[in-house]
Parts: sequence; structure tokens; C-alpha cells
Amino acid sequence: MKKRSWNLVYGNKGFAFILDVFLAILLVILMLAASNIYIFKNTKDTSSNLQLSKTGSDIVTVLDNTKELDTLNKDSIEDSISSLIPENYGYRFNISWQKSGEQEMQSFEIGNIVPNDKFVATGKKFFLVTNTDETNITDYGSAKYWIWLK
Amino acid sequence: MKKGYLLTLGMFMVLIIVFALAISFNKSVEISKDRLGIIGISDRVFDLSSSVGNGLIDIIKIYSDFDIVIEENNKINVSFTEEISRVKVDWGISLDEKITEFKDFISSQDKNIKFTTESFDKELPLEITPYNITYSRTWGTGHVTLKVVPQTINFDGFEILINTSQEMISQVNVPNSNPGSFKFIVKAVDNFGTNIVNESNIDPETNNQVHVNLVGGNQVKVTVSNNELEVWTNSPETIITTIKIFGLPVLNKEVAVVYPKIVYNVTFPELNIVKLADIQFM
Repeated sequence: MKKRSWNLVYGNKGFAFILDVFLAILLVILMLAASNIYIFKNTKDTSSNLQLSKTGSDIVTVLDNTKELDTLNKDSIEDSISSLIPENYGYRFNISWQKSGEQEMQSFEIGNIVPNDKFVATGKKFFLVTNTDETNITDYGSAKYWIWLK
Repeated sequence: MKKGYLLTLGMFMVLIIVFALAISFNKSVEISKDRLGIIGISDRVFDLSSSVGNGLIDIIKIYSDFDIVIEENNKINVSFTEEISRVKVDWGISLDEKITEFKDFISSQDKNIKFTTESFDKELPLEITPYNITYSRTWGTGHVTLKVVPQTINFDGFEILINTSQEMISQVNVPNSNPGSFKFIVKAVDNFGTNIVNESNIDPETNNQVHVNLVGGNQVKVTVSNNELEVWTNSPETIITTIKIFGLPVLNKEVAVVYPKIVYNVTFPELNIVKLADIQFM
């Protein structure tokens, strides 16, 4: 006579069934967890990084086209940047220039310290400073920017 | 029993599909991230490159007494206006100096930008793209010549405005004219009230000339021959000339006037990016 492992009414079938269900659920959970990891690993939106870069470029273009950069005045340029940049953006601008016919380089910086724990968009543009009637170039300049999400 | 197998198999297949979709989603996100990165870098390179190009164009516009207008309607007109005399040294005195200063400034500020040409050539040429038309000037002994050379005559005609300003025009005559279907318009004006328009339809392959004679013996000769246009003058005084190439067909490519001799490149070796650029008047 065959001996039962457990002295149950329905024999060992229930035990095997529960073990099967448990293994099946474990497999499902493992597969779903792996899928979840794959899906959510990369869902952080990086398009905002591109937007940051474009914002910096657009601000320098506006400052150049409105001749604000031609003033080479720190306060005036800072006011313009503050009015152009969205409030949730941090920024730093470096404006460097050299007078035509001279070697000495001058510069000033506007904005906060660049963070090193988040994405920072950076770029540079060159510009020319002309006199009021635009018949003479007085300075050669470059505007470098760093922009990040606060 | 069979149903159980099918159910297990079905569930397993669903899980495999979910897993495969997750991997595929992950891959496409990675690809789009890479593409966004490339777009970001391209924008940065474009910004740098176009700001250098715009700076050079501004310098040329300010210091060369040179103006280019591109009109786009159902046909394209391109015109070049400049103040020119037979004295080569009078032309663009500060131009080279300013271009050199700007180049030096850029080199000191950005190691990624390198110029492959040293100076601006007063004799040009400029190229109208995509039409393969060149515009150039040459100084000879006691005269200067502006020249327009098209590869093919696929436009309606030339319109030339000669403004001699303080040099009085004595006479305008037409020594040669061969009839055809190509429009050839010469307007001669001065500050003393002269305003003469000579308009004719010519054959551009043959010799066609209009002479603007100035008081004192100097001349401006406008010639269309072998499909080319020449404006020649021996005037020591500044003459304002506008050469309009009109009726160019609209093509798929954007119209630009390119100065091909100043070439610079923006290079980011760590990203394997090299962008060659030249000066384009759009």
C-alpha cells in the first residue's frame, strides 16, 4: 500500500497546486518587475534639456538683435535677461569683449553659480558692437550661457 | 488538463510579449535620447557657426560699401550695389583690418573655430547659388571692371544703374546692339539732373554696348557679350553701380550669395563633429 506524505482528505494534490500557483505568480511578478524596470528606467523626459539649450540661444539672439549686448552694461543686460528667462530656470551668462584695435579683454558675469548635480545647457555666440549709426564696429564680443532647471 | 496547459502557455506568451514591448520601448527611448543629444549639439554648432558668419557679413557690409538684395516673388531678382572707383586702394580700406581683428578675437575665445583663409580678396568673386552665377571685380591700370558670368542664360535680363554722383554725364550712346529676347536696361543718373534710361532686347551672345560718357573724358562702358556682363570705368571718382540680375527661375534650393574664399570650420573632435562654413548673404 502506497504511503501518503500528509494524511489529508484529498491527498497531496492541494499542496502541489498551491506550489504551482505560487511559482506561477512568482514568475509573473518577476516578468512584470523586469518589464517595469525597462519601461521606467528611461522615462525621465530629456526633451526639457533641449528646451533649456534653445532658451539660452534665443535669449542671446534677442539681446543681440535688440542691441542690448551693444551696451556692454552689466545691470542693463541683467535686467533684460531677468525679464526674458522663465522663473524656474537658473542661469549664468559670461559676456566678454575686446575693443577694436586693442588687445585687452574685458568681461563680466551675471547669474548664479553653475550647479554640478543637474543637467546644465551651455552655448556660445559671437556678436559685434557697432556705433549708433552702424557705420563702425567698436567691439568684438562673445556671450556664453549656462542654463538649468532650478 | 489540456485547458490548463493552454492557459499556462497563454499567460506565458502574454508575459513574453509584455517583456518584449518593455525592451522595445526602452530601446526607442534610448534612440530618441541620442537623437535629442545630437540635435542639441547640432544647435550649438549652428549657433557658433552662424554667429561667426553673421559677424563677418556685418563687417563686409559696413566696410566694403557693398549691398546685396535678394528679392523673391514668383521669380528671383538678385542685385549688387557698390561704390567703386578705378583706385583699388580706396576700396575697403578697413575691411581686412576688421576681419583680421574679428578672426583673432574668435581664435582667442574658442579653440573649436579655425579659419582656413587669411584675408578678404577685394576682387572677390561672389557666387549666386544655386544658379552658378559669379560676380567679380578686377582692377587694371587706370580702370576697374565689374563682371557677371552666368553658366547659362536662364533669367530675363540685366538691369544696370550707373549713378555718377558728382561726375556730370555728358552723353549716353549705344555703339553696338544686336536684337534678341534678352532684356538689357541701363540707367544713367548724376547729381545734375541727368536721368537717361536705355532699354533694349538683345542677343546676349553677341556684342552689345552702352557707353556713359562723363564730362572730362572718362567713361563707364556697359557690355553684354558671350552671355557675360561687364561694367568698366576709368573714373577716379566713386561711382555707385547697381547690377540687377532679374527674372531668375524659382528652384527648390534657397537662394544665397556666397563668398567662397573665407572658409572656417567649427570642430568638436571629442564628439567627432566638423562643420565647414563659408560666408553666405541670404
